[in-house]
Amino acid sequence: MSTGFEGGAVYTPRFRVGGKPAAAPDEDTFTMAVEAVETFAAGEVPSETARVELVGEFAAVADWGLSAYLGKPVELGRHAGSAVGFAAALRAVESAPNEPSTLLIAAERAGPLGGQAAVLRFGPHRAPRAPEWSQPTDHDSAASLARAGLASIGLAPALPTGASPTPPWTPETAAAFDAVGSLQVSEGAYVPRPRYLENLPSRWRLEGDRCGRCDRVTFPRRARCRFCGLSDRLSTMTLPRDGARVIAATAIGKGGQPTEFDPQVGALGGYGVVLAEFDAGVRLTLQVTDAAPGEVKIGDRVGTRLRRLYPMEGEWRYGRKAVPLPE
Amino acid sequence: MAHRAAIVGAGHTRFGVLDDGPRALLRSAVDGAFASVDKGAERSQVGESFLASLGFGGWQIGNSSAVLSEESGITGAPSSRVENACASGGYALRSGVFAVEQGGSPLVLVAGLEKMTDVTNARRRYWLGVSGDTEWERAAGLTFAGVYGLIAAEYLHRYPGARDALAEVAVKNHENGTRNPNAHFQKRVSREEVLRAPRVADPLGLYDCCPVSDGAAALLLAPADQAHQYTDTPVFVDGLGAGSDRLAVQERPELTRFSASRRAGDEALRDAGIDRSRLNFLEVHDCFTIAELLALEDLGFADPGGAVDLTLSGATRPTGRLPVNPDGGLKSKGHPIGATGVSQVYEIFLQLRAAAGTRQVPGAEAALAHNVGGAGATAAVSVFSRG
Repeated sequence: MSTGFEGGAVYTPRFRVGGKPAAAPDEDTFTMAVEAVETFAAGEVPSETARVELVGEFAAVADWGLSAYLGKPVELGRHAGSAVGFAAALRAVESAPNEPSTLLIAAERAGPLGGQAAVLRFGPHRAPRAPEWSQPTDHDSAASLARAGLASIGLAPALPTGASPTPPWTPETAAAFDAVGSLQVSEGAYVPRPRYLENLPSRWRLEGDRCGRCDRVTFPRRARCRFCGLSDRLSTMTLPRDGARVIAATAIGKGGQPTEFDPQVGALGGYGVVLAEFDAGVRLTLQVTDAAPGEVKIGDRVGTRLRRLYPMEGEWRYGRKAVPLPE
Repeated sequence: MAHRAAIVGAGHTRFGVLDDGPRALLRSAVDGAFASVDKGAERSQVGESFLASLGFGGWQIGNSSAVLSEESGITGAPSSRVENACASGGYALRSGVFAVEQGGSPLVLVAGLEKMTDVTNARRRYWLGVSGDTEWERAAGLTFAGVYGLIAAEYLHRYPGARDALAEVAVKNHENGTRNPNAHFQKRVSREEVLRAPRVADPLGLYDCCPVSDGAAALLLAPADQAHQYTDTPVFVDGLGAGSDRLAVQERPELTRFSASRRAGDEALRDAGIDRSRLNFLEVHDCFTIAELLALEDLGFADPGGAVDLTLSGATRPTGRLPVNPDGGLKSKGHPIGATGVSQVYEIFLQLRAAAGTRQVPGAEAALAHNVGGAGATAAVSVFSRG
């Protein structure tokens, strides 16, 4: 039995600029790749992946970040974001070992069709229908070819048309945020890289511990149940990425932010922060993105998405932020 | 009522944006404390000292207690820094009382210090976020203003009308500050100015937040039975209480009550053996206007939500039945972090000796100081009487 197409999904940013889907300032190809994976897995983090073929320009974080995100070491292949790169990636997945599955992730932040990402999974559990790959032209990007293939079997919604919701940023302010690049803004009481990495399963995957005695969830992880103190009967659980309810909401004005958010406030202005509660009774403070300060209110339900936080120690830090959910 | 220790002297610098550096501030507060001892005290009588300080700005984070000894002229005696963020002062007093009770020291010096205005704005805001949960809450973009903004948002959602009470706290404490020559702010603000001010962390605006201030304060403690060697009008520490909570507010079951404050308050009142009704005024930790309302509820002077009516009724004004923060509170007097808890006790020392001038609470015999670290992760409460 040979490796075949198992399924896939696309991610399209919520806002559009000039008619094309436009990534938010705190999105990059890495976060868009994660969005595509989470869209595909219906909010679940897939764990059976062994290999990922990355197609496109990915930030350096992808070198280790996908393994960290998937919770296991995965082999990475790299391909250019062109039609040629896409063809090479397809050949790579088709020649990959049968099991376990391989992901092909194509993402672009600003291509001919705007920002988009697509994930394709290949493995032994062939889907009834495989995509028909269109004959590429010189202008086709890998992400748009992947999208077109998924669309041919009904796995990609049509690119939206008509009026876009108004983004809380402009291309100019978004570019200003991008330009802070790898600024070193550490001023001291900050999270050193090892502490940041230590927390990634909670920070990126929303992993917590369920207690075998009192059944309550400790999030973020604290090595023991924070309700009954037990440490030897904890089992890993993952919070759902969507549906937390807003308990409290504030809007941080200019000057109310920690120093590491100075570049963001300088480029994009103030932001909202919410305390949101998951069904498990778990509460999490989250910065709000894809919405103007004050837009997300007490009682609203929010989703959590992986986004860029701020540059520190020469690299972007990533974490979950809250996004408004459509009614 | 058993006295645990006596305060026989107290000193205080101005609070505000000051030219003086940290050493000069310490010297000035400690010199003031010695000068205030009616029958005199010698530096050599100090057997131990405690410095409350966060180390803001990084001027001298480690071993700063040696600087206290140095500037106090007591080099040689053991000294240690007590750090519980904004509650450092309350906890330093607690350590000082324990040292007095342990015996062997004729006098114990408790000083609080923070120098906050000599660093760049960016560095200042970095330091303002060092005492909360840095791994999660700060990563969401919160400093304390943001955390208290969330708390205020939920409080206002639960108790409509609370916005007016927040404004009243600011108006009252600014008014009180005009009668305190040491206060950072010496100006009244109107309810409209408070409500119209730029938002720092919605619903909190500029006038809902305490300022960033320099300042120091110092106390001289003596065993209660030896107090009259130093003064005929000592002020006694009758009760101590303290508590802690999860560092991050996201790990607590509720936002609008501080269990550390509640525990500390109950314990201090029980320790002093005094009923709330016998307290003549309160010094509470109003780093943000919402914090004064929470304090009134956590300390048992109002039911949850009841601080709104209590405040709007005028009861907490100097002329009310329970004056709160007659010195202007953190809101108007200023909040040099390590100095704040010590400064609260300085005010109580003045008031219970009927030496508070134009802001004197008539007939004050007993009072309480409430000092909170961060957004309720630590709290210390102390109860005092004039014996």
